[in-house]
Amino acid sequence: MRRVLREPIVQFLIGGSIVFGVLSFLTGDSALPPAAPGPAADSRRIVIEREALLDFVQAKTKISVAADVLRAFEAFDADQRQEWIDRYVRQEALVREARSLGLDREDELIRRRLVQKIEFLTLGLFEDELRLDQVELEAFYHQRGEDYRIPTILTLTHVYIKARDNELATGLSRPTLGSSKSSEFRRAEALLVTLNEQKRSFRGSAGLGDRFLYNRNYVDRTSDEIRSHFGAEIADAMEQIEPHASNWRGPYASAYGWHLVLLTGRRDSRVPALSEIAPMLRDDALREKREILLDEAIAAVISQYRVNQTAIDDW
Amino acid sequence: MLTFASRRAMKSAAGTPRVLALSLLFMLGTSAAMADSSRQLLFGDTHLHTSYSFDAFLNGNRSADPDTAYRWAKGLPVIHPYHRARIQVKEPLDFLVVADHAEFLGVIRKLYFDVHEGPAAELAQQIREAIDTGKGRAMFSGVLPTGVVAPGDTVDPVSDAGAPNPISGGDLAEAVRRDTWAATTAAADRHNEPGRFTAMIGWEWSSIPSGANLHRVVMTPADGETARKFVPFGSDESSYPDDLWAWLEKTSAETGAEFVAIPHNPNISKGYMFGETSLNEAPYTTESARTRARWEPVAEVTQYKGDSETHPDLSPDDPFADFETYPFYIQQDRQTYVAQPGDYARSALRRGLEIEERVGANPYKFGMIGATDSHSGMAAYEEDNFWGKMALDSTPETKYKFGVTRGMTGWNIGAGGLAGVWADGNTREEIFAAFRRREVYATTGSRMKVRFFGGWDFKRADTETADLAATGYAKGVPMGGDLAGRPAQPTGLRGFFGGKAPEAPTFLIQAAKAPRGPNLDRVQVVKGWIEADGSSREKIYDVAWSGERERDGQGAVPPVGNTVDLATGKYSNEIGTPELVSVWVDPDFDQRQRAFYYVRVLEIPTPRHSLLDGIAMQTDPPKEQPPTLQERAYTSPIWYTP
Repeated sequence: MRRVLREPIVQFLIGGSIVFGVLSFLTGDSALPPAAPGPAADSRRIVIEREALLDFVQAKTKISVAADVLRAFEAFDADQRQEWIDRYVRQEALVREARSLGLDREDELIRRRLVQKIEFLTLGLFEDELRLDQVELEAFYHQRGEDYRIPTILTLTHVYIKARDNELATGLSRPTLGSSKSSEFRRAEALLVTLNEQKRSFRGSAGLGDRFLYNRNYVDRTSDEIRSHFGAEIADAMEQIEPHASNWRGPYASAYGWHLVLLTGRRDSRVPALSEIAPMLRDDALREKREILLDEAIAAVISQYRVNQTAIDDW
Repeated sequence: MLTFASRRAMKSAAGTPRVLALSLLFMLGTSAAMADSSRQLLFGDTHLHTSYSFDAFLNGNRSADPDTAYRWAKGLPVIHPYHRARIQVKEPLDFLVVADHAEFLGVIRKLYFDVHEGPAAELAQQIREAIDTGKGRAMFSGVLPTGVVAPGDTVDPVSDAGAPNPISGGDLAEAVRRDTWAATTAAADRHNEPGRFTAMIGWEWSSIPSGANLHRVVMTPADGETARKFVPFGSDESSYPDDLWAWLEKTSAETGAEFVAIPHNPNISKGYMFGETSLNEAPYTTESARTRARWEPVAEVTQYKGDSETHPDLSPDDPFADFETYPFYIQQDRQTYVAQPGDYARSALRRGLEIEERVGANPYKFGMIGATDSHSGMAAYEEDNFWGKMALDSTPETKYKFGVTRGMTGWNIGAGGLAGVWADGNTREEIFAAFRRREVYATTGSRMKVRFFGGWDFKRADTETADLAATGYAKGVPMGGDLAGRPAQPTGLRGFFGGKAPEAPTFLIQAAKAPRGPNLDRVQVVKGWIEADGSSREKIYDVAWSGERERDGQGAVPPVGNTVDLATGKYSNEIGTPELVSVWVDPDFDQRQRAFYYVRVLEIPTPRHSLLDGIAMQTDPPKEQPPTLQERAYTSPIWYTP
């Protein structure tokens, strides 16, 4: 027995059953009979119809083939049949009571579940036919391609000249010096001339300048990362200047000081070609199509109803 | 290390002109160090659950699958699985490990969504009803273990007679688990972009005997094809970590996949995660200590379910120890929380030294990372962009639902946990290699940059070099490494010019604030060591701090202050500093004592997510934690062995 109890599925079932025992008691909720009598039926009379009873047996036994249900039912002896009838009557009576209390209409929880269930069943109806052809994929791409935009990718190195401590605005804003031409700014300007005269390459500036708190080299980094490390002035400048193997630019200001920048590569922001993102695009397009089909199916159902809105004036 | 290389080279170069030897040496040393110093800092989450995890699904995550998880991590907009709003991470991650629970992998989701026959149909019906009527959480709680062992017990919690078996897949679910694993690994391959974004394959082994959390995330640099040769090892197969490692060993040999296992939430392990013995009460041997250290080079020490660096009861002299404590065991019944030495990283690192003193190997020689352990599919690490642990506790008005039966709410959850990784590049292999050499650090959600090097020869002037990392690698070892024994002779340039042998280890430390984040308060070194009697000690040193603060009478640096406006949730960088750099020499070094050193960096105070919720709801800040917090980083240690 202990072995059986340790079987995880069994544990799960037991755990679940306890939860559900309590739950069913609290909500009075149980599976609806598949063939409940229509509203015209006498509210205090339960008619046992063979068809409805068989459906009930099938729902409870989860036997999928109707013929098997019939065979099973016919093999029952009188006591067993009576037991099934009692169960059916019990459920039917309780369901009618619940309905007469308006639980099926008034209870928000049940209403929500009913909606979920019908949505779920509706989805199942067209899940197998859910396909996407190339034309639809392309249409989706033209409509939504912008969502998949790849940001600008930059490759740059820089030489950093630290601003004097009193010029550092604790990382919040541009050093307050440009006009005053501080010694640090002049040092940066002089170094820029040297770098360009000597045509220093990407690797050729190692050891020059001060230690920057982040990186010296940025290879294939997004413009957003550059913006986060250097601020708007340098990030914006990198969108404007042309990449070059040895043309140093600057001095540019960050919140931390002055920067001489060698931009050697820039891949401008672009929307990727369809072929680059086809698998992700297909998933997304299918997901959207599924939702559209569901909306359409539900709209079709709703269209069968006449909606009387006159009462709205009384609100 | 350059120092040893230099000594060897000196001998072999006898007879050649010294200057030539020296310059040759310098070139050799620097070229290797240059390569290392170009290592880049990557931020990622190694611990993210999707709707494929049974508990995530039961707690309101029906829609966020691995695709959703990768899209969030890459910075694309996604739909939240519970409240259905479009959300987006502010700063994308460089890598992600989708680590769904191996047990019941994908099973609840499958039962809920598919049409079933036979016994599965009944279970499916129950699950649908539970979830659709908002009772999924109760169902989840119903299958948690009961707390048979108490914190501080040392009996084997697994073989305890009353201990229930952990939930698991069982035979019925095996096919579903295999299918789900195939989908998970295929998604990882689809989203893996070498050089730009790494989707590392992994899962969680969820052993929790008697409510003692022994969970591990397992990750592998293997591709999907290799990973599909196995199905993830779950705690239904064994609750013993030794069996997990044996399985990793065997599977590695059979498939060629490499693995590391990353323990997490030791804080709620009742002392068992880093116990004095193995879980089955067997004392550590040289062999078993080595086995553990080999498979578990890194521990996850901070995440949504609390911080595991240390606890105020274990480190009473540490004024910053009381941070994001999480005193709630994962079990049905409530049990009073008592912090144990086996629950926290600092005490575990100390215990590791003690065990090594006895058996010659250290089972707890681990580096440190943070992670989220998010179950919403969103690795949300930003305090002001946090979306709950599960899905249903993702809004201020539903946070009370999280774990309410166990006396806690969504405000007990900390928003954060990231792994900082110094990798040669952004690929599966390179990130995995960084974990193996422990060149990683934990943050509680900050993207601050931290470098930490240990050597015998760092000088104050090294803090001024333009390329600090090149100096660090050339003259020392990075975080996660081992200091070699103290050189008996002067080494390197010092020896060349006839200097003295070093007296104590030196450390080069740099911390830079998160580029868009708050300033830094201070840098500390945490040291643990072994006394002559075999017992361990710990001490915290303030080594660098912002502003003009003077140490008080006890030698402590006073608090940095707090700029957070409790009415608006805004803070200002007018206190603190963007960068702290230091060379620190251990003033209490004893060359006979084994020791570890790690760095802790504190940010200035910023608003906690609970404060922001309170402001949004126009109520007082929730009482679960203080309204503001000092986010922090913990580096992997550097060890000294006599």
